[in-house]
Amino acid sequence: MTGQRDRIPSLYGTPVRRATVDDQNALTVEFGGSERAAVFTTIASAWRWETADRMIIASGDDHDAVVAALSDLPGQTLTGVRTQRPSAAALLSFDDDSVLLVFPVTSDGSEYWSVEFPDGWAFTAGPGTDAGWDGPDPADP
Amino acid sequence: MLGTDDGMDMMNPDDLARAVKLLNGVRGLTAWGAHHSVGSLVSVEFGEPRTDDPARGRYGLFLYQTAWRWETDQEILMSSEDPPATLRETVPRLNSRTVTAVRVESPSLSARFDFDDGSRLRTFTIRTLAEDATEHWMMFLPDNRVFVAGPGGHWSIEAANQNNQPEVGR
Repeated sequence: MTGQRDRIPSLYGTPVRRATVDDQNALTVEFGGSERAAVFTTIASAWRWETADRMIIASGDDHDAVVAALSDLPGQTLTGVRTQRPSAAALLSFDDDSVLLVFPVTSDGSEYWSVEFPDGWAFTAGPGTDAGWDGPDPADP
Repeated sequence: MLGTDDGMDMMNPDDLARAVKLLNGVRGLTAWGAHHSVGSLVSVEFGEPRTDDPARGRYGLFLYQTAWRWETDQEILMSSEDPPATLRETVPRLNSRTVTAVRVESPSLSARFDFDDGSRLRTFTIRTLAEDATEHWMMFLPDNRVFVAGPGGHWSIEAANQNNQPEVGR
């Protein structure tokens, strides 16, 4: 568990390679270069991408507008990740000074967001104030 | 309606600070009538009942098309996507808490309402497009005006009327 502590900071300096949403505008952001380094996924959370003076797009916006706006996210480089207690709200910052804010919206037992790595380790925030790492499923080859 | 009276400019951060000062008139007033209607819509009254409409307080908060969460330093008390039964039961627990501060972020107009028990109610703007014509939240003021956050990054102070009054809990 402790050995995983530096894995998210190790992503600093890594570019976004892909950003997509499902039909409910749940967000998936892949980080990495030619190979995928990690995948950030919102689960029971709202999100908003903004700069200091402008909101770019958010989870409650029209789906087509979200898809169009997210086409500008690939290529941005991750510069930091901060989380807030007790909610596990998260802030991902990028090198163009934009930020992606993630806001958990349930207190009923749902997970809020996760970061998965190619080797099967994943950090999951929520439910409630829970947050932690899970290793690869031993049943997976 | 976009824009304000009082000569305030909704795109000027200094004027938003002036508007937030107006909102902070609610400081020291106690919540009552906290009510969940449908979806994540919540209304809360603050201060003495109005003589012209005793179902409303001097100030009235209406959470409309926004995500929100009520929390302490230690725990999450409720959130906007909780099941309706949970919200119906938990929203009235806002009653009897006294507001100690109101903050509004720019450019999102997300707000934070601090209470005397150390808890806070946070909103989180989820609709950024002005053409959506959807308000995030509103605060009704004692002088029959209402601060409207949204649509998008726009805010306004306008006359309160039947069209922008929320249903209040009885």
